[in-house]
Order: sequence, then structure tokens, then C-alpha cells
Amino acid sequence: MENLIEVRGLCKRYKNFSLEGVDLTLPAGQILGLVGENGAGKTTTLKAILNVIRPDEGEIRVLGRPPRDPASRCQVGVVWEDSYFHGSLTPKTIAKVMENLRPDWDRGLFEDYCRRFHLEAEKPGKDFSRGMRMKLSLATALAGRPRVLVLDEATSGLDPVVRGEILDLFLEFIQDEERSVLMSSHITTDLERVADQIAYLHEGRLVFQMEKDVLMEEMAVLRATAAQIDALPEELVAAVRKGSFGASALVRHPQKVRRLLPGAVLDRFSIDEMMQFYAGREEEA
Amino acid sequence: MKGLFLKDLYGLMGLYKKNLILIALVYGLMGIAGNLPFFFYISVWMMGSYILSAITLDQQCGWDRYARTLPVSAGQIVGAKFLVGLAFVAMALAYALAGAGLRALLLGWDEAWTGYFEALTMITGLSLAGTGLTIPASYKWGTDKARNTMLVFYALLFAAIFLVLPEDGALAGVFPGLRESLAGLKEITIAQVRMAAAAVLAAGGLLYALGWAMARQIYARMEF
Repeated sequence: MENLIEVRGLCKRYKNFSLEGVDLTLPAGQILGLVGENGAGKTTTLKAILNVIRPDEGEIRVLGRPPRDPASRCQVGVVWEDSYFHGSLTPKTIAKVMENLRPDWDRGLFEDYCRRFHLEAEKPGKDFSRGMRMKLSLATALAGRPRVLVLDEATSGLDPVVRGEILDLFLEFIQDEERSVLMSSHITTDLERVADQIAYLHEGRLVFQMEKDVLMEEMAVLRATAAQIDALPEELVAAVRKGSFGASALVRHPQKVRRLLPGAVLDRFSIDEMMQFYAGREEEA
Repeated sequence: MKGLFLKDLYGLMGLYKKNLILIALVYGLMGIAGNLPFFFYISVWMMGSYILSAITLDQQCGWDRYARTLPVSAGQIVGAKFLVGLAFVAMALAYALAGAGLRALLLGWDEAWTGYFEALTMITGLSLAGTGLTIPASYKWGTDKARNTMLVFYALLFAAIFLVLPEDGALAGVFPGLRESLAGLKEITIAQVRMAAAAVLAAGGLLYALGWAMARQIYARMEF
């Protein structure tokens, strides 16, 4: 399977934060969800992939080329958290701008998306709601017929109906197995719904990149006593949280754990809970 | 490049269209009816600096971060700003020339308008120089700081002229040599004035080009 994005050993160092040795791959026909706490390095990673910042170390390939190569940028559609056009621009003026900025930008397709999203052609961007501005950005990105769609927290602040529509659109986008989506989001339920793979960043480091189905099937949350958790073989326990009301653990191979602790409670794995285990932020159990 | 040009043009016109129409009407009325060519000079100066607002708009809406993901170079992104700046100066010049023509047609040519074209040429040169150098400074230090520095610089320049040049100026005695040499300017011929105006315009054009080269270098190194 062709990788549309490959990141190897990405490092970017700032005064108060550094991204260290991040490896990522985005295969064709897949949606990769990038998760992590605030300040974990998601946006920094996306910026490096998108040529917005220069990595200090590491190698990035987008469709086999470095991000600074305009040929690779022609095939990437980007949606940031909010609109990047000034609020006085309308969908009509944005179309005039974009068709002169990207050689392959399809005005007809953009107008189709605007109709589908109920975006009025003459209405200034500042008069659209946040959800409509997001749809405008998405229509702008998709009209470039990109092979890779990159979204940074694009669905935050949107109501569930709009988010649902947009997520369906992503699934439609990757249908032909030639295109992919890389999206960061704090709304982990969205990723659980559409992502094929999950990459988890914690304090500037990649904890893992795994297939979502494997994560969901092979990880679970164990509610038990501290003594029961301590007695489990080390390879089954990914993270432990102990509190005044008991203990819980993020465990691998739930079937094996169930055999070892028949009476213990095993809850379904969720990305939210996993992040809380790693970040150690959840109130004590 | 055309797309970048249109983006800035639409952004500025969307924001300032009403303001520009109002200024054109008020300044035109003051210039023609009030017999004050100064209002046409200042319109050229002002229009030249409108492009600085496009940089502020870009910063406000995160455009620069998005622009880096497009298949355009730093030189093109910055170059579009300088082209839009030139377009605004050209529009202001056309307005100033039309205003003078209308004045001559309606009320005749007055002594107050002597040297109008030469002064307009000089103001155009000064406007190009000011804007050309403020754009790279805006990328380097931010638009507010750059614009304020430019305003303070020109305020000091004009204050010095008004304080030093007149015989009874507050600082006339402090720089007597300068005052005398500047006073000698009164004796120059119209041909010399025209040459000076052309020189100021050429210098302004050169500084504008230099500003573009500097801005391109600064912008290419920036991260968003």
C-alpha cells in the first residue's frame, strides 16, 4: 500500500517545547487520527508536514516529495481550525482567488460543494457561523482535488449534526483508496467513528501509531484492586492509575486478563480514557 | 500571483471601500472648492500605506500559515503585496490628476497649484519609499511597531523642517548652516525642481524595490 505521508525522526525544538523523533505514516485510502493533550505537539507535527515550519531534524515526504516542493503542495488540501480568508471575502471572491492560486483548482466542484453545504455565494465569510466557515474551508480544500486532506482541530466547536456530515464526507473522500485524511482532533469519538489508524502524541513524543480496530480489540480498561493489578504479568499492563477508591489499568489482551481475573470489571477501551491514563490527569478513581 | 493579488485587493476593498469613497469625496471637495492641493498630495501618501493593512489582515486571520501550504513561493506572496501597493498608488495618482483637472476646468488654475505636478511626483516617491521600507519592517517586527516607527520618523522629519526652515523657527538658530543652505532652495529654477522631483521618485522606486527584496528574505525565513 502506498504511503502518502511519511515522517521519520521529526524533531522541532522551541524554548518551552520540543517535538522529538516523531515517526508517522499515512497509507493511501485511510484516515489517520492524531490525538494528544493540549501542547502535545499535534499542530507542530502538522505544520512541519505542511511546510509551515522547518523541522530541526528528520525527514518528511508528502507523496514522495519534501513538503517544500510545490508539486507536493498542489496535492494537499488543508483545513485549519478557522477560516484563513479575511471575513470580507465571499465564496464567490474566494473562488476567484483560488482558481488563480492553484492550477488544478476546480471552480465547478467548489460551487457544487457550496450548494451542498448551503453556502451563499455572495455572503461574506464573517457573516457565516463557525460551522459554515468550516464548511467553506472544506469546500475550498476539496475543490483542489487533493490526494491528502489535512485537518487541524477542524471539527472542534461544531455541533454533532455538522460534525456528522463532515465525517461522512471524509469517508466519501477516501472511498477510491487513492486518497487519505490526516486529522487532529480533541473529539476522540469522531476519530473512533471514522479513523483507520490512531497516532498518539504525548509531551512531544509519539507513544504509538496503531490500527484503530486493533486498539479497540486488544486494549481494555480494567477496574480492580491495586493488588490484583500488581499481580498481572507486566506485558499485559500498559498503564496503571491508583486512587483512594480503587485502581484501574489500561491492559492489553483483555481475554487473557479475563482468564486471570474472572471477577474483575473490563470496560471497553476509549481514546479519551487512554489519554487520561498517559497524562495521569483524571481525578482519582 | 494573480490569486494573491486578488486576495489582497478583495480584502482591502471589502474593508475600506466605504472609507475610500468618503475620503475621495471629502478630500476632493476640500481640494477643489477649498483651493487646497494638499488634500490630493495626502491622498497619494495615504493610499500608498493601505497595503500595510493587508499585512495586518493576514496576521489576524492566519493567512500566512495557510499560504505556506499553497504552491506559491515566499517571493510571490510578498511580491503581491508590493503590486497591490503600486496599484493603490496608481489609483491615488489618477484621482489626484483628475482632481486637479476638474479644479482647472471648473475654477481655473490658481497660484496655489503652482508646482502641483512636481510636488505630486515627490510625494509619490516619498510614499513608495515609506511603504517599501515599512513592509519588510512589518514582517520583521509586526505592523503596529513598523507603522508607528514610520510615522514617528516622518513626524520628526516634518517637525524639523518646520522648526528649522523659517527664520523665526524655534530651532533656526541651532542649525544655522542647514537653514541657510535650505533657504537657498528658494532660488532654484523650475527645471531643477523637476529634476529633484524625478530624483525623489526614482529613489522612492528604488527603495520600494529594495523593500521587496528585503521583505522576501525576511518572509522566507519566517515560521507561522
